[in-house]
Amino acid sequence: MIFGKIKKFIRKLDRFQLLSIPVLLVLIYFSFDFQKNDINIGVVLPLSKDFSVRAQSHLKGIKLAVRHINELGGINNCKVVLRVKDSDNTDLAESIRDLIYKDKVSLILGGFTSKETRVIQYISEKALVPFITAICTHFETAKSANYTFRTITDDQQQFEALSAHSANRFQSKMPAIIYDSDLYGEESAKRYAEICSKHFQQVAFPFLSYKKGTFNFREQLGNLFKFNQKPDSLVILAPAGDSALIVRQAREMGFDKPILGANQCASSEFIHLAGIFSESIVTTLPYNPRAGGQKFDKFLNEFRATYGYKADSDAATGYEAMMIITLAMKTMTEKNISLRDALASFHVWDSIIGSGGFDSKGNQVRPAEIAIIKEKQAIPISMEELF
Amino acid sequence: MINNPHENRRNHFAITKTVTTVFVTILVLSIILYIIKSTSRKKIDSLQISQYKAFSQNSQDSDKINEKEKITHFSSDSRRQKNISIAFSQLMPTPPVNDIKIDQYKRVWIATEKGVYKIENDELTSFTTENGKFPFAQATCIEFDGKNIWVGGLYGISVYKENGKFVSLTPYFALPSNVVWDILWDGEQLWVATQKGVAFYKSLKIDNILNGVLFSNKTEDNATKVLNSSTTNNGLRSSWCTQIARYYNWLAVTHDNGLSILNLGFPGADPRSWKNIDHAKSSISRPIQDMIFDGKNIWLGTPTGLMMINTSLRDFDSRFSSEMISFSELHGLPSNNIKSMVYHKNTIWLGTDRGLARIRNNQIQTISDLSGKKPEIIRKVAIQGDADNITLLWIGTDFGVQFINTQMAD
Repeated sequence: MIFGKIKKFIRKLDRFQLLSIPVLLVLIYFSFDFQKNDINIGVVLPLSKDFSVRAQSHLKGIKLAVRHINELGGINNCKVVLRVKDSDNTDLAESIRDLIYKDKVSLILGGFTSKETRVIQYISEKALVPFITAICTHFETAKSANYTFRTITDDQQQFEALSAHSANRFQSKMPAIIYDSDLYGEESAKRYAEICSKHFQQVAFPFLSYKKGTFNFREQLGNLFKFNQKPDSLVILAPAGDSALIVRQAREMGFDKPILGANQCASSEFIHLAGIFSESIVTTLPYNPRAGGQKFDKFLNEFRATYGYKADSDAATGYEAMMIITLAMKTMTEKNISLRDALASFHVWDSIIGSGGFDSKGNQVRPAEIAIIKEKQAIPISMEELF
Repeated sequence: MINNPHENRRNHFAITKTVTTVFVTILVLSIILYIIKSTSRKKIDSLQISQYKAFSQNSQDSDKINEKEKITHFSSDSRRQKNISIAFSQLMPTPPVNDIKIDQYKRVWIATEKGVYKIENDELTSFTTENGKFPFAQATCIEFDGKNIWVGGLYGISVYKENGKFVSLTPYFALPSNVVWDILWDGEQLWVATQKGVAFYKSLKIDNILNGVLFSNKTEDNATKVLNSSTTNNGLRSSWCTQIARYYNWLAVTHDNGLSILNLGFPGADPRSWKNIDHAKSSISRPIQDMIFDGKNIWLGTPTGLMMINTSLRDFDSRFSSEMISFSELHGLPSNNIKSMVYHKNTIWLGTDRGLARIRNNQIQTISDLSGKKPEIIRKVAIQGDADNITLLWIGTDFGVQFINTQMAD
């Protein structure tokens, strides 16, 4: 019946009308974008092993930002979709390769350890895909790359702040350094020692190092008392869990001098594991929590409402990075430039954690904030009197 | 007024006819324009090489290259020009270039971020997944073993077949990782640098692979031999190997921790057979982006400058030291970020992220385009010696390839 009607209708048409049908179909086909209007962002983080607590928190910050972006209509009317890869459970290089060449991500966000970050940077630089890290602070990252950006204050700035603080506040002349060979490595210890010389500090030699999986640090810490050098402060460059153990064991062994640590000591994981021993530890914060004002309070409330606990600095830096990406993508469309160029043009921004910006190499210009741990909270030194 | 149905229908037909004709005309014109555009681009590209060669041959300087001179130190000879402007060929557009190799038939092979490109008889041909001539989305490196063109990439290894297509041989190779960063043919063995170590295959095994023999790792003879941190007892300091080269009896491997050099006369499993330059213990910065040998010393291109290993290769056995001499913008380099290098006739050609430079007669000279065009980020440089006594330096960038006649810089 229907076929009959169609047949009858077609018979009514002349040859020009018949010819116009395929032409119109071709025009319709090319007029519509049948592809999904999604913006794919690759996220690579160690989500299931040693650094999973911090990485999961970071991912939650990123996911909250994506939820907010998509609720407001996405970026240029396109929904943001995260392609998350767990670097602990997959072959890292192959995961990054698949994100770039199969999932066609616009950008990769993540990287935790320096090695992981180097692999992502190496592949994304070759493929001209922008890479942003908001959690890896290793000083080498984003130093000589074109497509790599870092929204967190790097180790170099943290070391400078720590060294200056220990020299001015504690009159430390001979700090000792203990570092892990995996996350920070010998190069970071060397870099810290170089910075110390600027403040007329002489690092006690040799550096104390340990390998991943060490639980008893008494052998290394014994050197603090063995040599004639008598260090007057201890600097820990190690992951949060190891830092907590080192602090506990150093204090138990009778080391009563100031202990300083990089931003790992500001994490909730460190404070929780070190317990009472975390008190008075001097550390660095990637930002001043009050610098973001009401925006930061709103973020904290939203985060607590979504995940049921207070957001830490890793969650906040994840949220900030995702918002910077959103801004860059909007700028890219408005100014008709590449995403890399849009990111590189961000020399100043104002986010939930205060103002920041990229320098000419794509590194964060925000200075490191020195904090002291009091009553299980990392309090910025500038606000110490308030507590 | 009464509407005439016949007239209405005629009018309707007339409108439909006109609209249809316009549509069809636009469509046909678009197709014709597209075809003309794509063919003319190919023609422009192809004309460049021969025209450029003719032009550059006429303008060659008679300056002779002193073959005996060796690069040992840098003089501050102000009589020599520090910046040289010469004509660059027009850019032949390709995706971002990762590697360039020239085979014995003078064909230029280019590994790019979207497959392989070939320049033969002034024609640019693409081998991509889109045209079905290349099995992978990306290509990292190219090697020519005298018979076959090998291409490695992030998805494995492939070889060029006579039917004009590349075929994947990844399953046959049983690589330690499918992420291939470099391939080297040293005349006896094929070395493949991957994310998880260096695999090597003897020519007999290569022939078997090419004949379709699938190897399993069950027997010792068939197992892929791999140099990595564990098989070398940490002689090779990292398994993430990015580049590989053979200089006489030494196998040099760049990796995540720096540079490891193996004396091939001794077993690789013995860490004493290896000489190492560790990133953390030296001034070398990561990643090492290229390395060359000038007949005496090994040079390393890094993001923070050019480094020369002070110990000459012939003294590696007796008095190896990781001491290095570094060169940077302070010495006249256009940038500290050395992306690629090539050594040819007492000259080191350097591709940086701010253009081209060369080191010759103990002096660093920057080479810029006569047209005044801003220098591009150079990803790869390669030398093509020519029978007409013209040596071309091929330059791969983010946007394609171009070349210069090296004699014009003299």
